[in-house]
Amino acid sequence: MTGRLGLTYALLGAAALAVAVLSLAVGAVRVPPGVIINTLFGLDGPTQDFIINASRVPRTLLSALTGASLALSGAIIQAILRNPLASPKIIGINSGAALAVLLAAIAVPDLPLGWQPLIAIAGGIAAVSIVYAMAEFRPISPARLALIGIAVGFTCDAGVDFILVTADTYDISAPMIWMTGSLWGRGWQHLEAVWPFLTVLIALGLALAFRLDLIRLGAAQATSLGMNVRIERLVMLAVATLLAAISVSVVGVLGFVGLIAPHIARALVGGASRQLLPASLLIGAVLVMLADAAGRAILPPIEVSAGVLTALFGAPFFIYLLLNRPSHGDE
Amino acid sequence: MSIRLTDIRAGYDAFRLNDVSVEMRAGMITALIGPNGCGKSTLLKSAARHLDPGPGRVEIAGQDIARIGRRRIARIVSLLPQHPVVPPAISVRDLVAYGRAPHQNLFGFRSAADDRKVDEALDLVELDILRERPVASLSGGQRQRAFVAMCVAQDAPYMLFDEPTSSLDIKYQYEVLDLLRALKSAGKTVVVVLHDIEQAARYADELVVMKDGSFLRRGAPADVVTREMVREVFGIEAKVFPDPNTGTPLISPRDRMSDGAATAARPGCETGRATETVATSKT
Amino acid sequence: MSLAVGRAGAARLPLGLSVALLLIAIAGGALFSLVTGGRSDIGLAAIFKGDATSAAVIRDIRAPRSLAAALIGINLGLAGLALQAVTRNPLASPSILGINQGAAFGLALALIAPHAVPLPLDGMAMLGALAAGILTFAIAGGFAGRIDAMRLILGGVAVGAFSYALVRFAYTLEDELARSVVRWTVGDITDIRWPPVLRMAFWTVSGVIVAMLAAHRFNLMAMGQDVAKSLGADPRVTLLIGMLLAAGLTGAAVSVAGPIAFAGLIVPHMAKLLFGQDHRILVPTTALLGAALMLVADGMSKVVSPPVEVPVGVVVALIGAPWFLLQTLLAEDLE
Repeated sequence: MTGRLGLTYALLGAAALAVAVLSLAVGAVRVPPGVIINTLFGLDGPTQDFIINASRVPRTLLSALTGASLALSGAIIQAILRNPLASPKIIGINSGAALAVLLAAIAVPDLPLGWQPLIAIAGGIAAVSIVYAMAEFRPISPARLALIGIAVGFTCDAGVDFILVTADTYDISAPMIWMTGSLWGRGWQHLEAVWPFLTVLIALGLALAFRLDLIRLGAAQATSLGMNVRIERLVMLAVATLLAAISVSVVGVLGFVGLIAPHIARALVGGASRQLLPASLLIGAVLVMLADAAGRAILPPIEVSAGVLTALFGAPFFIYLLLNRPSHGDE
Repeated sequence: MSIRLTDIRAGYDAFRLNDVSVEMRAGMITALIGPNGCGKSTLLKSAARHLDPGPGRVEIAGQDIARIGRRRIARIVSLLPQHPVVPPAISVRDLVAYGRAPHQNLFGFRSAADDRKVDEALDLVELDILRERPVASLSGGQRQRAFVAMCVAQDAPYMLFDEPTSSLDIKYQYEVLDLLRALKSAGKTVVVVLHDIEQAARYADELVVMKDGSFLRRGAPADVVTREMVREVFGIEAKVFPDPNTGTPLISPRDRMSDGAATAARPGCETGRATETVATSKT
Repeated sequence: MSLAVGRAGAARLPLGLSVALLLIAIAGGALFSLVTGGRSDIGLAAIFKGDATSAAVIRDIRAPRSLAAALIGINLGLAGLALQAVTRNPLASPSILGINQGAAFGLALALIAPHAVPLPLDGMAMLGALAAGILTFAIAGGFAGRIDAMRLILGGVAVGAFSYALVRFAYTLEDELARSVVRWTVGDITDIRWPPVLRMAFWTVSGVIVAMLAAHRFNLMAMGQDVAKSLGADPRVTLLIGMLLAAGLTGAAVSVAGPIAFAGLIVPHMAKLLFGQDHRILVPTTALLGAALMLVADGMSKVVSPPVEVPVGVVVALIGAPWFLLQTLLAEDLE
């Protein structure tokens, strides 16, 4: 059992590395692997300093980091809601964060980049709080929560559309690109703005794995095992919300990553959170790096947004999950 | 060393207990019985402080439970809820190991002692051969035994069970009840909500009868389960006689079709009217 | 899922009065929609005086646009009504079930590769709508006999997200399309002229007739599939009729205006609140209400943030999304 798990992790790690190299190689200018290695490790021979170091390295790191964060966020949300169809997007985090960032872009046009994560966090938390409060209004069931989340998301999206069509194009040209869920033009400064937050949150999320497993036993059982369910659930929801909202603040809406990464992980390593969370993390990183690399590789020099590709592959997967789920009742 | 409940007023918006005071004695199996919605589950949950007892007090072994934290409560008393959630893709052993949570730190690192307790619990419920199987793949009876094992691993001296036999086939019902008896012989204090009066009478040392959110009476099964109690609490006319094997009370409701002549002689032969008559005659 | 709106006890106006009020609302909405404009308002006086420029503006720009708004309202309102009837789900509507987005994808295909597709613009939009609708219904189990409420909505959202991703992928390929991104994602009728409006009018009229004919079947459906069957109306046939109707009407609207969300959700709800649950009355009143709502929304789209015109789809979404939220909160037995 342990041997098999170890092998799985090794393979996942290898996949992540391979995709990272692929992500460095492809794009408008193709860079052969040898040149990549020369550039990264400062060896002799032909190098491509600008493209690799200034553009593709930060972009690849950023896609891995945000992919990992979204996947972890999704895994945590699915566990606390005990709903395999839940995801950061379903409970409104993405749309709330997007609306807040756009509002800020209009209100304070030359807001420093460093503020963007904070604003996205505020928006994400606001949306989740609304969803949570409304779900408490009636007995909380997974189905109702998902629908309320979708509805809150729609409402925020309507606000986003309103801003996009009424605002001065200059103010929103940057948010416009960001909205489509793309890593285009993301560089070191974006990575610097978010990596400290995300690494701390990822560590925190992984540390909570055991408590998460207790919650999956249901509120009554968790209470009887000595857990303060309300408070701990809120802490976990906060970690998940922050992870997703901060990711959204730099790369925009990458739909379905938070939903499908945990499912792939579950198929590989099983349902216990201490295995599931790290595996989801790696898979999320692979998925987003792959989507970004593929988006650059399909039709150079045109870039297809990573968000478009995650939705194209994620939506059918989501439908597959819906179909393979008992048609009535929740877990 | 008992569980002593005083003036418990726990409940929900629509339903509240009427200041229930009752004691469940140490080292015994106490069964809570009564019709649906009488508050027996609510009482059980307040005993483990899953519900706020209102102005009342919950003392376990002389200690006021309101004054101690959740983790310490969990080391004193365990409660198996009526419909435990089965998390997808989790092995029997992992499930049982969660029972050790109140003894572990926040990250759940298992010690050798934890592993030993888990193994003992699996042995007790005879699931050691199925330890690596996913819980979701077990039969209903095996699944319930896995959850009992989880409570055993929790290793609290006071163990509460909320209808542990519901929705099990009869064979598995007795399996679970036998497990409760085994727990008692291991020195545990067991409190269990049961739907079936005969099973309760057979396995419990003491019965606590509830009706409409109030405590009615407590005592040895043979003293409590009488024809009058069955009529008053459950609203049926029945004969009560001792089980030829165990001596504990059995209940045989009067057959309304064949006993028609007998009942017709009395005013109001339908159940509803019959209880009505009983109620009037009481006042 | 049972019908959650129009509970017994809601105060209702007499039918005649309500219809009269609706007609007044349409007239008012039409006037509002006609006199307002992005660049300049044309006063009431100018319309009646008949000065040449104003008359030309009204005739060639404002009138087709207002008519388009009204027709779109009718189309989406009826499409939503049909979907809610055959799924017996108060949350069903073209945008929630992905039909809108499917139509947008069909349209995008026709615009990118006009020679590679077999049908003209509106035909492709209808085909896309139909494909998306069938997919969503299949996911929900509609063709196996029993529609699962949760699968219907979540499946619709997924089909919508997929189609929408395809649309975005399509306009990544085509720079010309990218310029009208907003139009193909939120719904806009700013530059409508007569020919497409007349084409849509044909579909609208046909749709209203079919809906009238199917109204009784929809009523039977409200009592559940089993009862409907025992009363001689095969629920699968009703489902198919509702599906085709919704796809046709939605496709026609989307080919002219892009996917306008939520009109199909809220118009039938308002009609049910006002007129009860009988589809024989609901079909005409939903059509009238849809026209009135869209005319007012079109007028508002020109005045909310001058001088910029807000696409009418955004105005409708700002009203409709909170309404959807309210419905999810109030709907019974969503489990």
